[in-house]
Amino acid sequence: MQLSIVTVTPLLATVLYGVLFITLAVSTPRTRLRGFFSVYLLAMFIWSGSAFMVVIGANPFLFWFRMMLAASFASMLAIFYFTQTLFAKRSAWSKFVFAFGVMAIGLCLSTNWVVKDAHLSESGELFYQFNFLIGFLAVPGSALFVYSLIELIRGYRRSEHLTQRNRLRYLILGFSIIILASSFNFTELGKYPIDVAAYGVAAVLIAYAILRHQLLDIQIVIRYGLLYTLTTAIIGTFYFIVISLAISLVEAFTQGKIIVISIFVAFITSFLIAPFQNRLQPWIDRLFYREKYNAGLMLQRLSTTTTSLLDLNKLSSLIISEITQTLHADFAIFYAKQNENDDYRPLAQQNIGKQLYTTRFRSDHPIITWMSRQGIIISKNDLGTTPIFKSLWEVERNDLETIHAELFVPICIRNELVAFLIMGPKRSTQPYSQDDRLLLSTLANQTAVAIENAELYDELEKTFIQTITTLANAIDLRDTYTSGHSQRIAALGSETARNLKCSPAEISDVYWGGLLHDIGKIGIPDSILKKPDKLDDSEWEIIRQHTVHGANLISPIKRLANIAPLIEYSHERFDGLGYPYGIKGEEIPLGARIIAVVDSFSAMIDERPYKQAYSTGEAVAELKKCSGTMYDPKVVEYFVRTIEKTHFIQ
Amino acid sequence: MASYKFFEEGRREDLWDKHCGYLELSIRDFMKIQERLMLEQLELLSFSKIGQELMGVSPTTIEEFRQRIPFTRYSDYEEFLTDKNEDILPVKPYTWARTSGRTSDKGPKWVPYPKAMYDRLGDAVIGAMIMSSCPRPGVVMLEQNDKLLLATAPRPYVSGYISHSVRDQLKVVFLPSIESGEKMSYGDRVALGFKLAMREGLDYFMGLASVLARMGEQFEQQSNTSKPSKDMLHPVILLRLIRAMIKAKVNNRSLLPKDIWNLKGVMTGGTDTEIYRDKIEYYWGKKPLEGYASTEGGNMAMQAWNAKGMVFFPDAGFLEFIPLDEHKKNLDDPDYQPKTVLYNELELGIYELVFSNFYGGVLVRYRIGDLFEVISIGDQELNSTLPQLQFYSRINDIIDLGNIARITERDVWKSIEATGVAYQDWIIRKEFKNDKSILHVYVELKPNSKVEETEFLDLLDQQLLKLVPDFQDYIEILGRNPLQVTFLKEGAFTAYMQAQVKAGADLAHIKPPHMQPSDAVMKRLISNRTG
Repeated sequence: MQLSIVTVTPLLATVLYGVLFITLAVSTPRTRLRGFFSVYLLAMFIWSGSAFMVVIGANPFLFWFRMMLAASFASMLAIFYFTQTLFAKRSAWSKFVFAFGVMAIGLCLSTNWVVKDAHLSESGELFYQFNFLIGFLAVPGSALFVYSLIELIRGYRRSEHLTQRNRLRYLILGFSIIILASSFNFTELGKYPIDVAAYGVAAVLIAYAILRHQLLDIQIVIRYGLLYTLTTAIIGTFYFIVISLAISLVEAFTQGKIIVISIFVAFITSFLIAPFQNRLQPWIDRLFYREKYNAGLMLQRLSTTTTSLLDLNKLSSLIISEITQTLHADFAIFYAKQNENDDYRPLAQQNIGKQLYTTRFRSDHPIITWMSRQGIIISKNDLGTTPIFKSLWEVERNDLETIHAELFVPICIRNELVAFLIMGPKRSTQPYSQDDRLLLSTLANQTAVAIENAELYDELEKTFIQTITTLANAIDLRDTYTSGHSQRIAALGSETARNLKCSPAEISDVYWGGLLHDIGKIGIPDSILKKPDKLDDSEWEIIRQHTVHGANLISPIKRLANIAPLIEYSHERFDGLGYPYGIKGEEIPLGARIIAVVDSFSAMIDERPYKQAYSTGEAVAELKKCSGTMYDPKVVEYFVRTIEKTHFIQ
Repeated sequence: MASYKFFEEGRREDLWDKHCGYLELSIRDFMKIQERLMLEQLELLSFSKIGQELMGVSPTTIEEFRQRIPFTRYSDYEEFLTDKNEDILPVKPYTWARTSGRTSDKGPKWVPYPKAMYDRLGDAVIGAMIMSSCPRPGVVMLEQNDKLLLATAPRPYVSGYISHSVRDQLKVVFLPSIESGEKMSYGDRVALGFKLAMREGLDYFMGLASVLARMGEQFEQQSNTSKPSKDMLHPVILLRLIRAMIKAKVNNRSLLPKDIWNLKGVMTGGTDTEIYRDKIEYYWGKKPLEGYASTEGGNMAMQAWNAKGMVFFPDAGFLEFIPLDEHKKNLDDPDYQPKTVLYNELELGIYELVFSNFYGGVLVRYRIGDLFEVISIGDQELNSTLPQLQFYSRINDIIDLGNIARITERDVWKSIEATGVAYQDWIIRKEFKNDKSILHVYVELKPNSKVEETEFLDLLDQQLLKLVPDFQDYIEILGRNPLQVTFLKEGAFTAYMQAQVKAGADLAHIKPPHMQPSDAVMKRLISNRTG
């Protein structure tokens, strides 16, 4: 026996099927499904074994050839019953199929009605002749096989489970290879063992699908395979051309010379290819891993944005907008816990259609408690299988069915569920893959950090506001003014600024400036500040310095540095006769001009030891009278509108 | 999602989780399910007339529910349910199931089954099928188109709905088909089931343990004497028989059912499971798994794959248990409201079961009259921390011997079995003869049993003392042995049952009760007394 590709291929296939058959036969549990597949493997073992005997010309030659054909029928039969069992079909004609299969095998082996003759010619070429029955058996047999394949494809389309889809994909791929390879037998290529090799490949694919429950996403496998095959082919061709050229150029015919030239060319080309490869990589990424590439870009975008975004509403809107686009999801909802011991409410949602989803999740909702405890993504399937979800109420189940939620993605900070995402089905109706889940988990972790930052910032902001408010109250208490003077200036001042169409930052500055405009009075002795009589010049000089003191006090605080000028210039007059610097007009910051008007108004309507309180009408009249001299006329005009709008004037 | 979809999608692990995952629930999660579903139930009841009638203002917490709502029995519901008035119910029922009415004076008990409760019937049985056939935890041997012989009562008995619920969720082949089986008598249906199984094969059996045991016995006895029939000529049957005979020959014994069928699992209910467990395993090659079900509560508990204690399903109903001492106090003083413990508070001992329906059922704090024994808290083999229980007895079936010893149906049955004497059936009564109490066992022996009454009495006494050691204390205090045996005439039980069938008796009344049958029943059995 001479070893060649023609003899080695069936031998390898025989070994492969033999090993697979034994593996499956000894593995448990021994279910009917596995049983039928074992029969298939056994049939294929016999088929490839017989093929080996045929190619080596073993006697009785005709018997081995007939055995090949009989084993083909047996494999078709096994596959038919395998698919029937897989999809719980109880076909009325399954008995006839069995009878047909048994008859076909029997006729193949015991009569010459199917195979008339088969032998190797003197040149070793295979010669075979079928008899009249071959058509009657081969056509229904092939139809049976195609029918099984169609059933698998239908099952694949029906299935929503990723693992099963993968498994079926392998089966479909394997059987398609078999059908394709078998068709070569009717061409000139039939003399090569293409079918045997293809059967071997199919065996590996199919057995892998059967034995492994958790399969990799075949798309990725194929893409990787495709990529590596292509790359290898391109590089191989490139090297072949370059080396061939080099050899022909230098006319190297000895083996030593060829090796030296090959190594030299390899070095040169690898240096040349390296920079080219770097440029090629993003292109390959885009072409072969579009989803992954998009997902990577999304994470990149979000990682830069979310860290600087401190508003949870904006953050949640941004995240669900990105995630629905990247994963092509029908919709997404971002739920967040608003307060301690509170329910989870939808904060942002995308692509829900016209209807806004408002259902809240109670903190004792099984999905919430499970996500809090486990911190892992829950799928729609989990709700039907994980025992804890038996505790779902009917109304909760109906709610979940209404929104067609596919995934629940927890966002936890230090084991506490602070928010979660609900992902709707993908527009492609494909299930979420492991990669998608990984992406969502990464995004959830990233979002958790952003939420934590936002919460910390929020906490800081609250502390800041509390501190400033306390400080302002303290100043008010020291002065003889009525309490709440500073808050009034802050409120009316910021409202006037809003009416003047100032920017949000400017409005905020006026608010804080108003609240702290008198902070410099902290350094003025009580004897002056609370003096019931008129102040003398030196005392006035001290009083006039409070704006500068206030600005000096505030300016080192980074968060308040912006408002220092507002405090410093809050007693300047529009005509330049104010203090401390006597600047005028628009040299005085707008915020300071606003505070000046509001402060004067507030002082007028307050009662002082040395004067009666003005009515608001009198105070407004006084403001208008001094408009253009003491006060900016535009500010006065808008301030009056503000107090009218806020019903400050009764 | 229906369970058959899991098969189509190859999600066998998920199928295990769905139906058997509850075994690995922590007791905290188990109680969480109980509490949440009970709160939902209280909400549902609060809007229904029956709920308002039974509970007044609906409790809002479990604590309030347990403190304020009294225990109920079926008589509390009769006025609402007998007419099947659906307007007063919390949820429109999907169907109504009935009991035999054995403990009710006004005919059968009718219990409404909302859809979710009906679905649970099948859910639990699929779980039982999976566990009864798994070689190790997590491995699902159940397959689509498996053949199932259901030797249970048809609709409107709950067992009939069980088969329908199973069929809704799983593509199994019933032998015979449900539709044709429902039109047959019980005996004909089981006979046809086994006949069809000869051709189609048999994967699961569900029904009474005694039926399987009897079948096994008959097989063994008749295997050498049975004559060939034309049915045997069918190639599949012939092949099956040849294979079975080879197996029996290799093992050098008579032909047994396990040689003919390679059963995946056996599921049984009732007291006799434990009695016949070993016999069934010997004849059928599979240990039966015992379950606990009732018309009022549906499937409530099931043995796990290791066939030890039963574990209650967390969604079977809200479970409360009256400890035995509390139960006794209540027996002595019917006005006394016994305290209950929850599933997480169970300790080793005997308890009376109290349950409330979930999913819009109507029974609230219902005392069904069954006692359970907690045999362990958790089971390492199952990786479960949940209490494991076994059915102890029906309350009415306990014979109390002067507060010293308790004799249950299982005790007597096991003792009779242990004598090794072939018997047809038996009953036991506590009787008074000459002002003296006696424990009277009436037995019908099999025709081939050659044993005298006194001999049998000795054997039975020995076995009963072994099984119930307290019985010895009772004898000593009494100063005499109260046990007596009387053999009934051959065919006594058959004659009784035939007469009952002829009289149109309800299914559960066809056989006389084993424990404390009434004088009327006794009279008819004794009339067939031997000698």
